[in-house]
Amino acid sequence: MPDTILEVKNLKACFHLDEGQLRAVDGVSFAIQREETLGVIGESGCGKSVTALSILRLLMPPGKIEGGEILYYSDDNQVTDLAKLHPNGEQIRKIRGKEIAMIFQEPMASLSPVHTIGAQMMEFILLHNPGMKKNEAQEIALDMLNKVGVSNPALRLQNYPHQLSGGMCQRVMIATALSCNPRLLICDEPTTALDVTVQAQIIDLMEELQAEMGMSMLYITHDLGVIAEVADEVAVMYLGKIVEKCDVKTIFKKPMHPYTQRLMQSVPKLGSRQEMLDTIEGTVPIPIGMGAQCGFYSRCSHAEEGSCSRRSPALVEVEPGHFVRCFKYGSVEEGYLESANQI
Amino acid sequence: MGSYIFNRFCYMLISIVLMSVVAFIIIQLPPGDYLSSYIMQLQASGERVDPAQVESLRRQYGLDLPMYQRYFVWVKNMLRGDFGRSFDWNMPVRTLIASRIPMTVAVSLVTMLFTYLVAIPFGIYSAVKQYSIVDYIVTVLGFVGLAMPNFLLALFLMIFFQRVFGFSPGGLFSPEYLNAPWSFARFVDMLKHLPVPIIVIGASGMASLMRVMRSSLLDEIKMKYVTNARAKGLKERVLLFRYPVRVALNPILSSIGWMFPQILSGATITAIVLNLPTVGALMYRALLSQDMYLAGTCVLFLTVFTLVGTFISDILLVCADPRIRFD
Repeated sequence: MPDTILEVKNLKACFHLDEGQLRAVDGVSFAIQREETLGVIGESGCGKSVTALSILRLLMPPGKIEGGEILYYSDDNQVTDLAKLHPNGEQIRKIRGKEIAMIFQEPMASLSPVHTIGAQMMEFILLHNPGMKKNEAQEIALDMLNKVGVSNPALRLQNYPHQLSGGMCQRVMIATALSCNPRLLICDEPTTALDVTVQAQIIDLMEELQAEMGMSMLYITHDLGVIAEVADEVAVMYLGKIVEKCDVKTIFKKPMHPYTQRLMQSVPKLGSRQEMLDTIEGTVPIPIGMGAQCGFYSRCSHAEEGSCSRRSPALVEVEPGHFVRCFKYGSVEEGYLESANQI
Repeated sequence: MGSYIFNRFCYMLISIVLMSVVAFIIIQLPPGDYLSSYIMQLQASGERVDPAQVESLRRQYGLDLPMYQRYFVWVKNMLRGDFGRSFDWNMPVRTLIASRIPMTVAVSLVTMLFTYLVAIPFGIYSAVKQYSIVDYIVTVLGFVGLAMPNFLLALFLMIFFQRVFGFSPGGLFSPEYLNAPWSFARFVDMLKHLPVPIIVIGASGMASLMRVMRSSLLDEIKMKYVTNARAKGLKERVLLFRYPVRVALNPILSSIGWMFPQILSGATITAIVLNLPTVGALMYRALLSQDMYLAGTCVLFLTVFTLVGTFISDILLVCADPRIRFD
């Protein structure tokens, strides 16, 4: 039995804008193992969410998947390339919610304002369990709300989203997502809109539930603290590319890519007397019509004129299990390996 | 909920009372009264008018009283069902209005129904298929409908119907059925006459409703809860109608409040052009001839319709949108 549940290979997603083609995800590859959590980290606009949306084929025009494979390994060892499915077709709809569930960033906005919590939860339970009676679905909904620590669940089923707090709404979202026993849960910054104490509660809850239900998780965040807590494996994204990938301990102990190192430095340390936060200067460039160069070139303190500005480095295994995309560690130009193999 | 409806109802009653004062003042505003225009008419036809006779007429109609007293007399009589006498038609206002109210309401309601039935589906379609050919066609037609004056559209359609179907769509009945008792043939005859007024009266409302539906749905489609529902595996069509369309209908519901009076007043000019037996045309004539009781009653009726429409749309909105609080 293969241990991989999802394998993304060289995924490319673009937004076709009037200004040109925006390459939001530019050749991303990763794999998620059974019952493990892959954390994806990066600042706003680096393509984390687009990656997540692409997996469930939720990317809407002008966004489009341009290439690559998204291989999903189902329970009976069948492999489906999600990237090839029709985005509204029956096959992907059977996977959405049932096999792969997703939790979004803003819990309040993710629930319909004019339907009760109960109606929304039960709709999805009934959708993936054809033939189930309404009261059975309600039992499951109640049970799940109990599990995620919602007080007075029977009353909550009658409530509308605006009557609940943000943390409560996110618990409802989690309960809904887990009510069909998904094998993979994609979390797109589920705690970003919540305050810190609630954030901690939600993360603890999700870890507990993951262990209990034996799910895999793809956890997207820009919060290093959250990554440290939930992830087994970490991928750092910058400008639509994975720049570093390794297990969670290594990334904190020995970050190698200049971007990862700067990310680590920008976290304020407890007890240190620091007047100014150490930040990364500049912003993520907009990836429209960029030639071959390292994406981090404009903000990197190690950048070298010539190599970094003219060639784009490939992701290479610098140490066992530790992949870095930087010329500093002897990376070769992207595409070089492929062409070498062909010869 | 119950207390909310009761409160809204009380506000509506207060508004009606206030509006009756305004209506009364407005019809009193033009210089002179019915008698002065009556006298002018007589003089114009060369008759001599005896000032004493005028004075007695003035007293008889209560036109010599101060304005506030006349208002209270008017209201008191109305509460007893006596809306005064039309000087112009020389018959009770009540009889005049009663003969036209059913037709007015019927034409308005059918027009509204037609307006919503056309505007909502096309609004949804042009939002879902934004920038498609159908969207462009619907949008252009909508703007034409919005921009074209009612009476012009009425004239065009009259000519069109005359040429193509060979009958004049003026009025609600053909001459031979005008005073005939109700029969199946008369009903069919009415149905034949209805499309033109409905299209003419409904055109601008339909166009604006379509735009409201389109833009409101375009906003909702981009919402997170739609993506979330899609991520749960819901079919596109089910998803569309159960979530964003359902939310986007709220502004449409609130439009009932202003649609109803818009249709009634829009019907005035159309009614004159198309010779429809509705209140609008009656009011227009009454205002011109300073037929004060008739004009006042018409204005008041239109006001009451507006307020009732608003009341109904308020209640519908509360039922449709749980976010509206009662307290």
